[in-house]
Amino acid sequence: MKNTNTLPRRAVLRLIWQFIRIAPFPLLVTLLLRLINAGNLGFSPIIIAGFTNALINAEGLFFWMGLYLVLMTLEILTDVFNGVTQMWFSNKAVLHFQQDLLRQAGQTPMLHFLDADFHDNLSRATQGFSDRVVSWFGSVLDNVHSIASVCGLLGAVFILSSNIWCMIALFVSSSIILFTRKPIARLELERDRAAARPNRTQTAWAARLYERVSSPEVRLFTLQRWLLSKWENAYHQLATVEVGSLKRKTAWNALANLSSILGYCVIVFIAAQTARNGDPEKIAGIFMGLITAAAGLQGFLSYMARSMGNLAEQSGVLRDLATLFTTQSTKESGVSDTTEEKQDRPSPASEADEMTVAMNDLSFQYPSATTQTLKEITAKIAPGEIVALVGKNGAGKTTLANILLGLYTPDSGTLTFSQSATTSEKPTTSAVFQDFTKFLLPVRDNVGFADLNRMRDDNRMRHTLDRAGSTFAQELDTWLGNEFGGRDVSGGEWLRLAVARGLFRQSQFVVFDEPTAAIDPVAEVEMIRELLTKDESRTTVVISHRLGVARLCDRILVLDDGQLVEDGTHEALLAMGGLYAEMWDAQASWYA
Amino acid sequence: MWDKVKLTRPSFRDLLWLFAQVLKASPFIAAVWIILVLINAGAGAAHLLVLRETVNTLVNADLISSAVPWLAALCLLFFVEQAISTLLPLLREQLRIRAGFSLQRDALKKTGKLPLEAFDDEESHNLINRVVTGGDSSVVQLMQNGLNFIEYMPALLTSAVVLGLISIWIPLIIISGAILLRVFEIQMGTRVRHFEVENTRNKRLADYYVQLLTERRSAAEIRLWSIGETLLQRWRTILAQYLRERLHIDFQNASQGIFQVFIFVAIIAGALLVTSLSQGRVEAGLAALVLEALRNITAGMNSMQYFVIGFVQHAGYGEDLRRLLGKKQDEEAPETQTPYPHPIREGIRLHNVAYRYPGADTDALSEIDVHIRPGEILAVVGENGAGKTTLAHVLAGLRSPTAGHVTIDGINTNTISSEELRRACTVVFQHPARYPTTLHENLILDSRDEVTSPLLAADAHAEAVLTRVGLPAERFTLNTFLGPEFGGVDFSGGEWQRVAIARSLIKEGGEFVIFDEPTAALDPLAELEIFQQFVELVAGKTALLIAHRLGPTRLADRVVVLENGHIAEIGNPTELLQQNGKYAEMFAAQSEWYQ
Repeated sequence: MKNTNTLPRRAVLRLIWQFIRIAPFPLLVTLLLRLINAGNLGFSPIIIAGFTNALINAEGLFFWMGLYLVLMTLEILTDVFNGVTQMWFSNKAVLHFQQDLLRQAGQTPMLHFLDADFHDNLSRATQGFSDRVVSWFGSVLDNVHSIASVCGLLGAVFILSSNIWCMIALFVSSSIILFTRKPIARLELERDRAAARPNRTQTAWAARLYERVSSPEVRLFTLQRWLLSKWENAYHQLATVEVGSLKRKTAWNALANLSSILGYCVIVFIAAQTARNGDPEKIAGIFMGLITAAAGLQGFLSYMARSMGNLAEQSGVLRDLATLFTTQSTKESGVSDTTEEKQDRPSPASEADEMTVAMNDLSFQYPSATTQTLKEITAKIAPGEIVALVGKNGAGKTTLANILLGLYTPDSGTLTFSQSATTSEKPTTSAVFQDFTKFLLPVRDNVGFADLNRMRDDNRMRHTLDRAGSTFAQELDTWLGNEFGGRDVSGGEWLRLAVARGLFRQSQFVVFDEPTAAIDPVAEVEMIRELLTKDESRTTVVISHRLGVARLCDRILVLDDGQLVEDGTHEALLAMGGLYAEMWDAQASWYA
Repeated sequence: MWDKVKLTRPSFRDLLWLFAQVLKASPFIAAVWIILVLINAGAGAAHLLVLRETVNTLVNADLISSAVPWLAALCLLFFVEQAISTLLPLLREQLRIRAGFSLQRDALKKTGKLPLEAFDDEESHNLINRVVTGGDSSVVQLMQNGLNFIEYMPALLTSAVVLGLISIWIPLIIISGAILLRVFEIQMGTRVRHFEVENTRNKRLADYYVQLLTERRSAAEIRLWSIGETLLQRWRTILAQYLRERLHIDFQNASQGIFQVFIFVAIIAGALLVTSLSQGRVEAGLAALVLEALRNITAGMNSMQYFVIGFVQHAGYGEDLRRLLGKKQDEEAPETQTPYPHPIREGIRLHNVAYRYPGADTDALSEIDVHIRPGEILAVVGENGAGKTTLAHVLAGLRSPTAGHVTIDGINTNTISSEELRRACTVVFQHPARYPTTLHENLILDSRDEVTSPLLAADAHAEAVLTRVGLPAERFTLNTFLGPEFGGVDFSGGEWQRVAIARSLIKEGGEFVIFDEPTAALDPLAELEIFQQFVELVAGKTALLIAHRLGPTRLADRVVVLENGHIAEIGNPTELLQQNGKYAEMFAAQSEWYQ
């Protein structure tokens, strides 16, 4: 992912064109304000020259003073309003670009979320994304602005001095300044890359200290000092990166400033010479005009260098954006049956449809893992069948569930869903996960997200909530979680909401990944009964460590170390005396 | 809860306090920085005076060569100013980084010392969040703006003072105008801050949608339910409105800026008029000086405007931080310090203990009157929300009862230092925190080896413990980095639970062991194994076992059934089964699976 090619020019142009299309009017106003500001700058040395002479000679004083005040007014006004109009178009741009980015993040295969590099990139891209896009385009405008200003000032110098040496000195000094922009831009880009990891680490350690969930543990184990030292380390790493890059940047800036000092000195001496050679009445004016221009040029040349540098740096960030989503994982391209598998996803179907799930030689390996998590799983689940998936922790149960749900793509083997009839676009797979999401949103969203079309079907929602044993059936619009001023909800209540969500979607295939691990036994019995209600049209896979739950199922698949080791009914597996029987005995012994 | 955020103007005291923090964090760099700022201001004044002489010499001298020393001096001063302006950002950033570090460290340190109740109370929890989470960006903003302001100030002042050469009125006009401008700017900054505080919720909600869309934890459900587009549209609606309103504020500020421009121009016009009125025909050098000084002042005031607005906008941080640092922390060791009894002879007694969460209407625990005998295993069962974990917190000394008291061997726990109380306790939490570091550090929760138990000094011991809890060394080494977000190994919930159990096995000297539902996520074989280890771990110790699964409670000597914070039943598990009460009902529900 660390691609250091420069962004192709056409892409840059396309991006600028997009900006123009997003907000033409505010953009035009901003551009106009900046050009007025630049023109103003070009006039200022000439007006200062005239005004100085007027002050000394007390001639045309009010005329020049008026001009001078108009100049000041325009300078400040354009500056103030430029900020607002720039904010105006950047708002539009932020919405536009971040929407694209988020949409793409939503479409990225889930496996990418396990990849640390991807995460670094994604967090770099989304956090403060708005600022970056804005400052990138701001840099484009800054470039236009600074170049126009420098041209204006050069024009003023030429008019006041008409000296070729002056121009040559300025040209040399500005080339040196511009030369430093590239290394500075590279430094900043490197710093951004190098800072991403320590910055995230720093945040993660600080969070352990201030987050509510970890607060009892921190106190009980007196972890404050340890956590603090971890945070300090990460912070120091971050600071080292930043200060180191700043030092090198300062060195380059010093070079740029040195050349601008030389340019200034040359102009000062030439200005003195020029002034003396001209009209004796105007010596002071011409000298003042020229040194004002020289000081202005010095400022604007480094502004120009800075904005060019920023442009290069920011386009680096934009390149990150580009690479973030174009690098599809090698994993997917390696799968031969991706398209076939997609066609086979249980899509169009009506409730009465029945579905067979066939796994054929499924293997899967996580990108960073050294061994396969799933090894050649072959099994078939009949329509309406309720199957339990059991095994030790780490046997691959959740991975298999994620493959069945289409969240991961197997490395080899095929997964087919077949049903008797098709058509009608209904969502047909559903699930309740062990680490379900607690949406800090109203109850309605927590349940309705499973089936957006029925979001307003209050009766159905209430019925589903009742089935899941939730007490929120009459409070569909209550906000949950105190982060946004809603109700504080207990863990058991969140689980019931997640179960309601799983039930809300009418599906032909559903996966329950250990949903009841954290609730009390009486409630668990009720919930499991509700979840496993025999429904001929729904194929169900249940992952559970409570083997009593497995016994209620039609069939049990036992995974061990990624392999399917046992497959059969409860009685058959007990009789076999294998892993399942061993596990059963272990658990049943509590209640013997 | 959002409207509780108080809006205050930045107080001068907060400003001084923050500046003192900056000085304290790195006195040497701060001193160099201040000296450079002052030299810069001096150079600015000298520049003006030299300019005056240069122009006069140029106009009046017969030979141009007599102006050369003045021209050279002008160049030299320019060089000094440039050199300083190159160095200042380097120093300023270092000041910012160091001061930001020490402020954030103080805040985090303090947070670690706050009692657990500080996290239950919404207001103080919000305060913690504002300071510590928002801390990084607000402290950076505050410092940058403040330091920039200080850099510009002296130069501005010297320019104004030099103009006093012409007439005392000019500096007076400029300074009073500048003060008037600051008042306007503070108003603008306050307006922005007001808006931001009022809209924090919307902004955070928009950020929350972004988080849902980009985080690993929610990735599965977003894909399963295909709600990405819906979340995206909501994000857009909220953010668009927020940005629109924010722009409106900016526009208001800019319109007010027109007044400012008038004040500005009035200052300049006033200065010029005073000059020409008091001098008549102005000396050439003086004219040059006035125009140059006015140019400096215009540029300086223009930049300062942004810093003032930015500073006011983030000034709340200083106040929040001071409030956080001033909060009451976990009580220090009481006067009459009693050591934790070792071993426990008479047991732990809860005398009519009640606990109520801050801001709650009802007690989470009430009338808890139990005697935990030494060496006894007491199981606590009950539905979700019955108060099991709260009881564990009270016993571990994490929360002080709001009524009643706890005694150990007759000693009131109030007289034992909370640190010792906690050290005497071994707890395996239901959801142990996951630390993004090596397995080894996750076990000892410390990076300094010498403070750990001597048992751990040998890695072999740690490896043996890991194997005992079912994390065999073939699969992971002690140096395996955990946490996929940072490129480490992805542990399952069950594996993390084993790490926590291994941690408690390694810790020695715990007189009192609490197991808070440790096996919820474990497979049956592992569960059996863990409970066997539990029995081993607690041999000769007093233990509290919180459980949902009633099977393992048969290991306990007695069982307490909690119902809505009260004790519903207490007794030997076998007796309770015969009594056909709540425990029997729950047990029946569960054992039904296995009949």
